[in-house]
Amino acid sequence: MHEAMHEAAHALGPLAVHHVGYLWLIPFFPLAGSFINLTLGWRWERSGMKRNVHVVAVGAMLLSLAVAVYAFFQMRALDPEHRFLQDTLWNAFTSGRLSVDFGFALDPLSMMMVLIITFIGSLIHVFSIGYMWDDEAKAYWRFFMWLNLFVFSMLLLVMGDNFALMFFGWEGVGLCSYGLIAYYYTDREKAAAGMKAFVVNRFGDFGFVIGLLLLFWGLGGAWALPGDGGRARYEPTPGVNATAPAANMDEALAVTPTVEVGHGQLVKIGPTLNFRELRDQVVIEKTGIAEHLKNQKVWGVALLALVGIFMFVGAMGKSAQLPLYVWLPDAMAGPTPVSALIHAATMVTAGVYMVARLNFIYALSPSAMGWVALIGALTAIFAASIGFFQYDIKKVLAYSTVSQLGFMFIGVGVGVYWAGAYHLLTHAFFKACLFLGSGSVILGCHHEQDMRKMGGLKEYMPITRWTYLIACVAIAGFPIANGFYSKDEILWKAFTSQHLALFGVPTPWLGPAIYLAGIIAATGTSFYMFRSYFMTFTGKYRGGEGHQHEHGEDPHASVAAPHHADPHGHHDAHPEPNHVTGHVHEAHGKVLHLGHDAHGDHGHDAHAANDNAAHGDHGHGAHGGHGHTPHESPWTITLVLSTLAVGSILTCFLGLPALWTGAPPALEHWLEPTLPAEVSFAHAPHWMEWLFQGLGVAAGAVGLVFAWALYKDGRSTVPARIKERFLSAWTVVYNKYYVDELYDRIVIQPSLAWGRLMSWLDGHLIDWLVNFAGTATRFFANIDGAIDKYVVDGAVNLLANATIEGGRSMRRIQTGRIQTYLYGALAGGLAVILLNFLIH
Amino acid sequence: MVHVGLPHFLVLGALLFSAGLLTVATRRNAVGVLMGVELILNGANVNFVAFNHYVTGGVSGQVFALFVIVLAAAEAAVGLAIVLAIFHTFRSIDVRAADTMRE
Amino acid sequence: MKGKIGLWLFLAALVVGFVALLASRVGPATLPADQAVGPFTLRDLLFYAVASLAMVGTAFVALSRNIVYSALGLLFALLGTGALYVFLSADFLAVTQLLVYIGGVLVLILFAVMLTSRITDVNVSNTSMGVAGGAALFFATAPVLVFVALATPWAARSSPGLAPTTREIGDAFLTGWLLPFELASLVLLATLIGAVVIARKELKPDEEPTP
Repeated sequence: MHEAMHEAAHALGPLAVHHVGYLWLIPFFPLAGSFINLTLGWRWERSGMKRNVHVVAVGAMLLSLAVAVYAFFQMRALDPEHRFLQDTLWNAFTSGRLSVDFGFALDPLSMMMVLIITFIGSLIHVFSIGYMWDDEAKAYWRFFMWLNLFVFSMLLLVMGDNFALMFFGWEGVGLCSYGLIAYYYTDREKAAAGMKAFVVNRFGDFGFVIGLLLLFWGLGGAWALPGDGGRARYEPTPGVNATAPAANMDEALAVTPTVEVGHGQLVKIGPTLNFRELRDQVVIEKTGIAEHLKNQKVWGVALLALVGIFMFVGAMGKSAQLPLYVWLPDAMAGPTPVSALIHAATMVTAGVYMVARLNFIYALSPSAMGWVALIGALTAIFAASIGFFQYDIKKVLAYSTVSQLGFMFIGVGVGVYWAGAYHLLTHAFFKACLFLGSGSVILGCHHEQDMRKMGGLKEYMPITRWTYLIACVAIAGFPIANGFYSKDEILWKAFTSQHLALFGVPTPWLGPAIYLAGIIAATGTSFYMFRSYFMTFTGKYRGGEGHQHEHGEDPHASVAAPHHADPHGHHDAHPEPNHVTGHVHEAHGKVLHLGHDAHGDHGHDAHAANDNAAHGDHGHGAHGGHGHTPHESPWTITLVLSTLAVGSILTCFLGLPALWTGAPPALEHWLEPTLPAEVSFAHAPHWMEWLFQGLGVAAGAVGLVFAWALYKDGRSTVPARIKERFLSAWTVVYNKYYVDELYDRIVIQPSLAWGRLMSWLDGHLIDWLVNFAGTATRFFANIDGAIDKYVVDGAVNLLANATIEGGRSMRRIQTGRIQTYLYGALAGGLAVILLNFLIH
Repeated sequence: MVHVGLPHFLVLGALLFSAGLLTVATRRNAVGVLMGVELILNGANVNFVAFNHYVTGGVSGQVFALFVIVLAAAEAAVGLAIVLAIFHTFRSIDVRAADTMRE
Repeated sequence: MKGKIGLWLFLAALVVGFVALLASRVGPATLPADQAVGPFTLRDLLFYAVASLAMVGTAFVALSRNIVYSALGLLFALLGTGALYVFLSADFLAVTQLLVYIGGVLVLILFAVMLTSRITDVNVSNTSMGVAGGAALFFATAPVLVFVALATPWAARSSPGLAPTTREIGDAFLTGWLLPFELASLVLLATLIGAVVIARKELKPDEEPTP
C-alpha cells in the first residue's frame, strides 16, 4: 500500500494550481472582527452593549468557518491530483531571486488545518462567552479582540503560500499568545508568564530563520565545494541562482531558470520562498535539485540536516518541545479558553504543521528526521513524568499537551506525516475538550484549580464529567475514541521505521527505542489523565475545607510558611516549596522571574489564573452567593463540551487503519497529494501489527488500572505512602526537574549580568567619554573666550583707543583762536608757493 | 645803488605786508591785530600805487587804492565794534580768551 | 619862564640860521629833486628817509609790547606811506590817506586802545606766538615777496612824470568806476549800521551801561 504511494510520488509533476479569489476572506473575517472589537469594543462594554462584542467575534469566526467549508467542498470536487487552491493578492516585494507574494494557498494539509482552526476556534469562542462574561478584568472586548487576532495569525500561518507569510503568522501567533497569556497583566506573575512564552518562542524563531536562510542559500549556492578541503566559502551556482535584477514578479519570472519536466511543463528552480515552487523543484527528480541539496555540506555537515534541525528548533519553541517547552505550563496563567485554543488546538501545532509541510525536505535527510523523532520521544516521556504529580488540573493538561506534541513529532519525525497530522487533529478535539472541561470545573468550583480541593464533581457537573471522561478515554488510546487510531499509527510506524539516522549515521535501533519510549509515555499519559479524572470527579467534594490537611501531606510545607493570609479560604493556597528562590509570591527582585514565581507555586495557581474574577459572580448564569457548592456550567459551555466529545468519537472514522478496512485511512488518502516524501518502512507481518495495537490498548489499560487503584474516590493511601518513601525523587519530579531553575542559572543570570556589565560600561565609559567631551569643550571654550576677550576685543579696543587718542591730539589744532588758524592757513599757502618756486 | 624805482616801492610794500602779517599772527591784543590788518592793507596799497605809477598809466591803481582805504575804514569800524562786543562778552580783549570754538 | 625866553629865542635863531645856511648853500631857487647828492639824488634820499620812518613805525606796530606805542607806530607808518604816495604822483591819495586813514581809522584805533587799555595789562600785549613763531612767519613771507619784487622783470617806465590826479580820479569814479563807487557807499552804510549794532551793549537789568 505504501509502496504504491511512493511510486505515485515518482510520477508526480508540478502541482496543478486552481486559482480562486475568495481565500483571503478566511483570515479576513477574524481580522475584521478583531479590529472592530479593538475600536468599538471598549465602548460597547462601557455602555452596556457587551454582547455586541461576542456577537462580532463569534460571527467573524462563523463566517470564516463558512468560507472554509465552502473551500473544502470545492476542493473535494476537484481531482485529488489537482487539489490546490491559490489566491494571490499581490506581490509584496521582489528583489533578485527573492519574490514574496501576499497570497494564500489551500492544499489538503492546510485545508485540514483551516477546518480545525475555524471549527474548534468557533467552539472555543462560544465557550468564552460563558466563561469570560463575568470576568473580573472587565475587558471582555480585549479578550475577544486578541482571540480573533490570534485566529487571524494562525490562519495566515497555515494558509500562507510562502515562508514569509507563514513566518508572519508564526510571529503573530506568538504575539497573540503573549497578549492572551498575559491577559491579566496587572498580576505580575501572569505578565511574566506571557513574557516567558514570548521570549522562549523567540529563541525558537531564531532557529527557524536560520534554517530558512540555509535552505534559501542551499538551493542556489554551495558553501564548500567538494574536494576543496572543506574550506567554507559561499559560491552561488551560476545557473541555478540567477540574480538578474528584476523589478517585479513578472520580470523575476522571466529571468528565473527553469527545467522542463515533461508535457511542456516548466518548473522553476533555484532559491525560492514559495512552498509550491520549493516542493516542485525538490520532489521532481528531473530538476536535479534534490541531488544538489543532498550533496551540499556546510562546514562538513550536510546542509539538509542543518536545515531540518534548525527549522525544528523553531518548532521546538512554538510547539513546546524539549528544551523550549518551559513556557507552556506557565502559559496556564491565561484564561482557560486561551489554553484550549492556543495550547491545545492551534498554536502549538504550528510546528507539526511546518514539519509536515516540509516533509519532502525532511525526507531527504534521515539525520534531521531522527533528530526530530528523538526529541519528540524524549519530550513525550519527560513531560508525562512531570504530569504524574501535579495538583493543578491545568498544569496536568499542560504537560499532557507537551507530551502529546512529542507524539506528533515522533509521527512526523519517523516519516508518517499523515499520522502526525491526524494526531494533531485528534489531539485538537480531545485536548480542547479536556481544557474546556477543566475550565468548566474551575468555573463550577469557583475558580479553584487545585485537584486536591475537588472531588465528587460527577454529581454536580454530569455533562462536564461525561465529556471529560470521553476525552480521557481518547487520550489514553482506547479504540472507542480517536486517540487510539492516531497514536497507534504513529507508534507502529516508529517501530518499523528504516529511514532514521543520527549525525549522519543510520540508526535502525532508533525506531524501536522510540517505540519503547512512546509506549511508556502512553502508559503514563493514561495514568495521569485518569488520575486527574478520578481526583476531580469521583469521591467526595473536598473543596472549601481550608487547607489544614495539606500541611500533613506536604513535608516541605514547614520550610516555607504560608504566605498569604487571605480571608477567602480559596485564596489562602498553600505555598509550594521553592528551594531556589526561597520565597513564594513576592519575589519581584529580579526583573525576569521566568518560571520562578509564575510556575514554582502550583498552589498559587489556584488563584493565579482566574482568581481575578470576583467571588460573587461566576459564570454566565449568576448562581449568586459565595457558596462552596460546585455547579454545572451554563449551556454555552456544556454545548461546546458535548460537541467536542462527540467530535472526538466521530473523528475515529477518519483514521481507521488499513489493517481493519483494507484501504488507506481516509485522512491519509486526503493528505496524500501534499506528502510526496518517500520514506521507507520495514515490512512487517499483519499479526505483528495486531499485536502492537493490542500493546497500545494494554498500555492505556495499565495506566487506567493504576489510576483507578490509587485515586478512585480518593480512598487509597498508597499515593501518600509512595510519596513518603520516595520523597526526594518525588520532589525532583514535582519541581519539574528544576529545569526552570537551571535555565535561570544558565541563561537568565548571565543575561542579567551582561546587562549590568553593559550598563556599567555605559555609565562609566560612555558617559565618561561624553563628559570628557563636555569638559574638553568647556576647556577650549574658555581658551576661546580668553582669546576673544583679550586678543580680539583688545585689537578692536586698540583701534578705538588709537582713534580716540588721535582725535584728542588732533583736536588741539582747534584752538579757537583765529590767529592760529591764520597762521596755519598762511603756512600752508606759503608752503605751496615755496614748493611751486622750488620745483618750478 | 640804483635810483629809486619800482622795486624799491615793491620791497617796501612787501615789508609792510610781512610786518602786518606778523602783527596779525602774533598779537594777543585784539586791537593790535587790527593794526596789523591796517598795515597789510597799506602794503597792498603801496603796491597798487607803485604799479600804477610805474607800469600802467592812468589812475586805476589809485582808484583801487582809494577803495581799499574806504574799505579799510569800514572794516576797522566793524572790527573795533566786534572787539568791543567781545570785550563785553569775555571781559578781556585777549584773543586767546575768545576760544569757545576750541576743539 | 622869563629866564627861559632867552633860551627859546636862542634856539629859534639857531634853527633859522641853519635853514638859511642850508638855503644859501643850496641855492636861491627850488631844489630839483633830481639834483644829485653823491650817488643819490635828493629824491632818493628823501625816499629813504620817508621809508625809514614808515619802517620804524611798522616795527613799533609789530614788535612793541605796549599797545599805545604800537598805535603811534602805526601813525608813523601811515604817515610815511602817505608821503610815499606823493612820490608816486598820487597826491589825492596821499591826502586821502592822511585824512581818512590817519584821521579816521587811526583815531578810531586810538579810541579803542584808550577804551580798552585800562583793563589790559602788560601780559595781554605780549605776543602770542613767541619770537620763534613770529620770526618764522616773517622770514617765511618777506623773502619770498622781496624776491618776487626784485627778480621779476617788471615792465616799468623809467621816470614817469608827476601830475595831479584829482580830476582824473573824479572822472574815473563817475564813469568807469561808478559801480564800485556806489557799492562802496553802500558798504559804508552797512558798516555804519553794523558797527553800531555790534558794539551796542545789551543792557541787562542789573547792569549799568559801561562808559
